[in-house]
Amino acid sequence: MTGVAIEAHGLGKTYGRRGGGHRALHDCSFRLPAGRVCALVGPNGAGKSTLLNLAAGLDRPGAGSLAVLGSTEPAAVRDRIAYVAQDKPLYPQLTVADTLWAGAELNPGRWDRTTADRIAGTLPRAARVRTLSGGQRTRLALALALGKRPELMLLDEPMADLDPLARHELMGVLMAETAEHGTTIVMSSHILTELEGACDYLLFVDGGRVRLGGEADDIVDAHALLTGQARDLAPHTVVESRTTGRQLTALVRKEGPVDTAAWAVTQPSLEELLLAHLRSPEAPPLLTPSASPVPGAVREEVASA
Amino acid sequence: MSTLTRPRTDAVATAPTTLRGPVRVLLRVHRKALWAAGALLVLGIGIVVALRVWMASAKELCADGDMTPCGGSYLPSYARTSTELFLSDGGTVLLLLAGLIGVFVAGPLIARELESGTFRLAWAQSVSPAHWLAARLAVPAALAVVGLTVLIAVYRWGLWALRGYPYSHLTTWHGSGIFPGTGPALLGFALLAVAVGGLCAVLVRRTLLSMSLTALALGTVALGLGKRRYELWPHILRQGRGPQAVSPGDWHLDYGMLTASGHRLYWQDCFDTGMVEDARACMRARGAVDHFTEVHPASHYWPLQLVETGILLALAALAVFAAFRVLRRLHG
Repeated sequence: MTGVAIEAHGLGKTYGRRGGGHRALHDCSFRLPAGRVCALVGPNGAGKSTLLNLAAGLDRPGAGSLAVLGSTEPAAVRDRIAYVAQDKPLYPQLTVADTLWAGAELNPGRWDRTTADRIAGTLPRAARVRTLSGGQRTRLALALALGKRPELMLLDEPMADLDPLARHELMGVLMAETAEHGTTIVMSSHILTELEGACDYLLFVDGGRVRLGGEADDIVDAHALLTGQARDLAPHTVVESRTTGRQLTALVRKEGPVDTAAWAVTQPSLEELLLAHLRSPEAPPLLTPSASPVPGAVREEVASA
Repeated sequence: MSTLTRPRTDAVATAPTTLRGPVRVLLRVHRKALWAAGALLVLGIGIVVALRVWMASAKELCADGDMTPCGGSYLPSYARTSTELFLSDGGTVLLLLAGLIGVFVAGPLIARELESGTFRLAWAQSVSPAHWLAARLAVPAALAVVGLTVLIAVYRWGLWALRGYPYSHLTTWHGSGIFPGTGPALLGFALLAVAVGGLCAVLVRRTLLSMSLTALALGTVALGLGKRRYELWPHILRQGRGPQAVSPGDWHLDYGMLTASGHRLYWQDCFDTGMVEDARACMRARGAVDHFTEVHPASHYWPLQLVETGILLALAALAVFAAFRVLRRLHG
């Protein structure tokens, strides 16, 4: 698959009235290639849920443009998108069986009963949704999401309610899904370790914009943890530096070859990288080429189709 | 296949365009409310049938109006007076029932979903917001029209039994507790209730608040119509006094006297003089020569019903339009 799942240009969204409103997203631009499993990470209130809400076509952006699956209006392709919101909305008075039946009714022609049943697994079919535990609700919500055979899955904090075993099992299901059908998956979390290893793509959102975006490996490779005697770090971009006596430890974005004679170079872990960026809000954003939005690209792609 | 190059028009075509799915899911989610509505319908029919059976089985002297064998006095049975009393407020009950449908639409059907977030389940499951709202307005509207049509027919059948008897003063066609429940105006009110409920729900998105707002709006409309109903069709003037000027089905609106030139003087203008004799003198002093009564004859029943229905339907259409506009502005 060589397409673009999501492309955002200068996306903005403000909740509440103008002036006193809360700016959830501001000038947010990025691009997510299709077929990736993407971790959408960031601290609480960074704008992750807002971004997913917009991508699912449930809300309208206040500024900028957002193209999903080649459509400049996400709501127009809602049958090809699955979205599981953070609170796993389900009708509490329906039974598990009724909920799965509702999924089939709402997705005529798309519904994959076998998949939905497989994901729902051992859930008691006659139990009412209101009696289910948090983890069971998550499972049912995912069964609904996967049952409609989406091309893009947007999962908001899918792991929060799951125990490690269920988490592992769910990851397996999602990986199989993307391997078999090329489904693009976006999973949000404020805990990176939940997603690390499963995701090959990263979008790090902070303060309403994407600060790091691209293949997880490429992002890590672009940075280096330097230790040595305090001296000028140019030409590298310093994300964060700490001096202990004459010893300097710095996380830098490499702008050319690193002088290995002067510095002890180690590769930072993804978590160290994110923490450093969280502590240094002034560090410039980094988008790898595949994550950089192309001006006017959406229009051309739609026109050429 | 590339997700990128799939044209948008194709995507729109694959989206479900029928309301079948959303409607079926809606009916399943609110199964209990449906049973309750069915029970209310049966209860309503049962009450009218019971009253008629009771009345028919009660012994009554001189019910046909020929009072000679009764010594000149007519004695209605307890069953008859009770039935009259109950049925004289049947229209109000039906009006309340129609309002209840609107309150239910405003609360559990729409606002509760917006408040608790379950609307996102439907919207993420390929149902567009417009279809979602359309299903939530169409289903209660259809059920209300069918259910209330049955109840109107049953109510009219109940009132029919009371016609033609003397001294039946409680059940007149124009009674404020009867008129709203005997014709299409009730269906108009039910549709307005559904529409106002939907509008309030998408506006405030809070279950209790939107239910209260809907009740308030519908109460205002019902009371306003009750007070101003007589103005919905031009009344006619009956001149003179005595039996020749009175028709049994008349709805009396106002009384007064005419001057020689045809100018109308109302009694209320002369009431501040105090005594009745003084009022007459006051009228005569102003040049009154003949009595008049402003009435709606029984033949005005249908014009009044239809004008009222038209007003209610127009308001309902406005509210539905506004509700879709609000939803579209917020969610596209």
